[in-house]
Amino acid sequence: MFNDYNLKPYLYIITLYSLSHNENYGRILILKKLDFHSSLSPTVELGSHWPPAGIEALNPFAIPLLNTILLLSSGATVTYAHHALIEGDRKATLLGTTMTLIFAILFTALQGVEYVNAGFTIADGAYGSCFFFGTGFHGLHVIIGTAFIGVAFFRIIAYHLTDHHHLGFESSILYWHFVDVVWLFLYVSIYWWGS
Amino acid sequence: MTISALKKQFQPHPYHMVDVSPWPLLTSFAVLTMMISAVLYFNNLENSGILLRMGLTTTFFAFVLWFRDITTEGTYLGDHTLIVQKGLTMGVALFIVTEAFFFLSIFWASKDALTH
Repeated sequence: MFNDYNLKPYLYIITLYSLSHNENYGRILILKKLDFHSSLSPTVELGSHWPPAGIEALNPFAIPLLNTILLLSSGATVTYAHHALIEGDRKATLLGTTMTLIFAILFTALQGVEYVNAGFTIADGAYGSCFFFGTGFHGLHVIIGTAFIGVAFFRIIAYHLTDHHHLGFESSILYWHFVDVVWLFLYVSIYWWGS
Repeated sequence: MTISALKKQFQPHPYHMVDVSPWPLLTSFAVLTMMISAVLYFNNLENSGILLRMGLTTTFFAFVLWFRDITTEGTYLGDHTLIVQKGLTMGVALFIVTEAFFFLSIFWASKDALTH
């Protein structure tokens, strides 16, 4: 069940911790006891390299920048749909919501492309762990937000929402903007600064 | 029907008194199954993919059925009065605050790995 390969990321973290506080003692203790010396590459010495040696970070000005544009555009279209709903313009509301959903699904698809083509995995040290933990949970939230707006979309079609009572839609918009802001932080700190 | 019998059908406050519902408990079990099977799946336990799919499916249907009930309460039953809407909005806002702190921890881990 727990093979060596899958324990690696945890061991990296333990090793990092011991390195930073105890220098050689922790390192020798953990590496010798668990016999992982040969499996650990210099990528754990992060003090001098980020991304760590051997990891080729993704180009932040390619697909990630496109994803930033997609998410910011979806924030604009969802605001357009919200205002149209308050104005009572059914057609424009449906158009704005549809555009938002298309941008959202495109974003998830492009993140999928990035994941498939990434030259590193979640098991590749602190960098891989941080990258895939951060972007993975953000992607999960994008999918949840897409479902949230999707439910509101079908409720608009079913005439559930009115110009003064559309709480589910408003909540989904709030949630979507939050996911959008998290992406901006991810883009700046993990994609851009991280590379 | 007498006036007093009719009056009993009206509540003297604007709040939503929820009915008995199986969805909170069912969702808890579904999400628990999803979480445990996901951990087993990530650790390559044999056949855990089936467990994970079961967890995802039960979570999906628990949500669909729960959302259906909330939709009925918010539209046809008229339970979502202005004060209830205010409470729900505050609930969503507080939930998003917890989400913000969740992501803060991820960014902190990244920053910690970078600067140590």
